[in-house]
Amino acid sequence: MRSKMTGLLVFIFLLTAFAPLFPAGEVVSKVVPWSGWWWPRKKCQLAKAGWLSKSPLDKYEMAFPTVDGKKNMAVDWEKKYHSTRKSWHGHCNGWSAASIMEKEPVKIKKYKGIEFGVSDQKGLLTESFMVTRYHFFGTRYNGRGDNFDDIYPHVFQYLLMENIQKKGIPIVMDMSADESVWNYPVYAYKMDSKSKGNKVKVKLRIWACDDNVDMNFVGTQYLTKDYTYTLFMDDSGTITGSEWTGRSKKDHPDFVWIPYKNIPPHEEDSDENPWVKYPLLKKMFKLK
Amino acid sequence: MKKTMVLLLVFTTAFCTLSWGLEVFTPVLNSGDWWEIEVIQKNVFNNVKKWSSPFVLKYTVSKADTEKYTIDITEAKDGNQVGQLIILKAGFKLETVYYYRRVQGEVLRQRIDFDRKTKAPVISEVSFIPYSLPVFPLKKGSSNSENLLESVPQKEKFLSMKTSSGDKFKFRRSFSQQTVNSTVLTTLESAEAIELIEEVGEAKLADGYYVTVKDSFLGEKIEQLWKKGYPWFLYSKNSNLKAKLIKHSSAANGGEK
Repeated sequence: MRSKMTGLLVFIFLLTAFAPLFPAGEVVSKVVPWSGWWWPRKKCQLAKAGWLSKSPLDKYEMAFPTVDGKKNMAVDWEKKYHSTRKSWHGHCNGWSAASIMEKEPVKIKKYKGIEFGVSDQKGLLTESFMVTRYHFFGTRYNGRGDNFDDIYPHVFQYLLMENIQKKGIPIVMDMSADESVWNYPVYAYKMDSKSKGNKVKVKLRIWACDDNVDMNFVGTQYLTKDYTYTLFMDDSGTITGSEWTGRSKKDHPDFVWIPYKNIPPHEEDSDENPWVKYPLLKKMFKLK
Repeated sequence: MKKTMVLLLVFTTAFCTLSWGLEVFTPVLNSGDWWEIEVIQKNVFNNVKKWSSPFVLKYTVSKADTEKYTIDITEAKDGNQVGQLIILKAGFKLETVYYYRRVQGEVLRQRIDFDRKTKAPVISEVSFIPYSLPVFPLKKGSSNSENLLESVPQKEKFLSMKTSSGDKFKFRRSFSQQTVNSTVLTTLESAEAIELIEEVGEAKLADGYYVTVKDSFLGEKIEQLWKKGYPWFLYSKNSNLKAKLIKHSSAANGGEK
């Protein structure tokens, strides 16, 4: 009888202790990022016109023939350093940061008589946000020997709650657990959970802003991903660990980062076109 | 009665001797003090170059009243403010951090408050602004004497040092409306200190306080080197960031060093 009572009390404690961990319904950030094309490096569309009459960087060079007193070489740089890479290499980190940190370009803007469409503006912003100051969580998986399970689900859940729910600002996640990197801004989530003993089984759905859109797309096109995981807790409610379960063992976020500030690129970093100057873009597009 | 008095005297003398021998350190700052930290961050989007180019953050004590220090943090290159710290003088305990961040074209000031009563290290998570702080005062000559670098170490001696079990602290990490406790270990390890010798030099290591803080929740370990006479850590490292003090100027001690 006594052990049954203890069991019941423990059950009630676990129920009340863990229930508030999981908000009911969808949680949506106050800031919703905008969709934009991911500018794959294989195609090098930021520099090569293709079916566009002029590429975004062609127009940028026309607007600013010289940068810091030197001939603007933005197109050449892009062709040299941001092309002929792996099929998944693109500008998704630049777009993810820009879509959180800048207002969405929604209409054509003219500078020195040159028309910059939505795709031009989004493309140039994307390029200039390739290098930012950011907070980073987890470790990037680069292949054998690296930790495949990380980022752990309890840290991922914590980041969703801290940023999307509490601060109302999206986070960026690498959606691919393997070597490839697919960054997406995540702005909403929903959780369902079941407690059993000191384990809590969680079903999580996240809403991410999509970059598989037309170059001139305006607005937010979303995609969803579902994850499952188990949280392990001790009797005091302290989380002692967690693990991805089911399909999520192989398909889960790799890392999370939160952009804070756009910075000028360092030449040796070569992840951002050093000729594309953020202050010039601000002037050109009248950004705050 | 006489026996009790003698015993009491013996204990008091022993306690006083121990206390006198205890060397403690808490940083003391003055308004106008400033220092510069050189930071490198893991270059996650570049597989060739593992660490970013260094950037310099300048910390300036803009206010020092009877209770608190206000420290402004700017990026040295462009002078833009990126953060602000409010530190309680008592125990050098971080009370509030402000971040300045750009969101949808606006600069937002974001506030993070820390529990001022809880005795626990402050963990900056994986911020690009290094502000993790151990529990002050750092003690020398206490039972945690393994935590200290008493003299200029030989590399071999370092490797043979024992790791102390450290102190355990609990702090409150908010997890939605519920508060979750996370255990933080403050302990000292020696093997990693080889890197410290390379980063700050053996001379600066002497009489330094080497602290590691382990956050089991985030799976993060923060290593720091503190030393009397310096306003901030000499070196700090976590999985994503390395930072070292490169310049400092104290209004009270005759300017830049």
